[in-house]
Amino acid sequence: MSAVLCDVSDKKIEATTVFDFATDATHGAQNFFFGSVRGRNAGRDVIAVGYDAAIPLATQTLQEIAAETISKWGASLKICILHRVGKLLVGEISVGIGVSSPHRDEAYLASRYIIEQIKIRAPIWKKEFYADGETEWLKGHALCQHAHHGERRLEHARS
Amino acid sequence: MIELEIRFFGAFRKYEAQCAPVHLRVEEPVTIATIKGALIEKLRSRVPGFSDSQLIEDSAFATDRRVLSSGDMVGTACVLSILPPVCGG
Repeated sequence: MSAVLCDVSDKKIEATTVFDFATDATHGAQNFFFGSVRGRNAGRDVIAVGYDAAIPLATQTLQEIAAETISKWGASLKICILHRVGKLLVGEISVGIGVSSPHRDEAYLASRYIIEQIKIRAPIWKKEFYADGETEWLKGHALCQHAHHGERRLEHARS
Repeated sequence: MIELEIRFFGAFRKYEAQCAPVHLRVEEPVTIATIKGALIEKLRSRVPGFSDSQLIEDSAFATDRRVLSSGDMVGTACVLSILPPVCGG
């Protein structure tokens, strides 16, 4: 039986939360990935990164990625995906991913799939704060806007 | 005519202070391309030195529930988010 925890918030990511959720007595593999703010990027000294997100849609996107991961690597996976928003200092954790599975291969593959999909699909943005006082929004991946099932009409999309 | 409210994220956040909320009045049903054009015109008229036309062209629109595809039509008043290229993680 799979289990999923996804969250996008300004709450500090505690490694123990990821560890505790992505654990199962019947599993023999746990893979954990933590992304953190690095102090140097593209030749510039970074002092902080501000994370912005369309939170409801980002949370839903993480849930969709988790569901895809389970469909690819097994219904018994336990998956925890936490993403931070707000201004983070160098060294702070911005994303935490935990995958528990019966065997190591699925855990490694699933974890890699999740972080790569987050980078190209989740509506989350980074603004770097540099030591010289400048700031810059980082370039990213354009979200796919191609129609897969023909034209759809949005009639009741109040949000 | 319908009215669309546009919400800003990422590199577009700067427009919140300058001109939010942005409301676009457009003929329904309206294509994504037409919404982009209307937003460019609105910002060009309200922001001196506006230069983000290409970023708008490279961006997607979304509700809280899904990203709209380029073939979608919007037929009712609603709130849409404009999402610049993403870079989470």
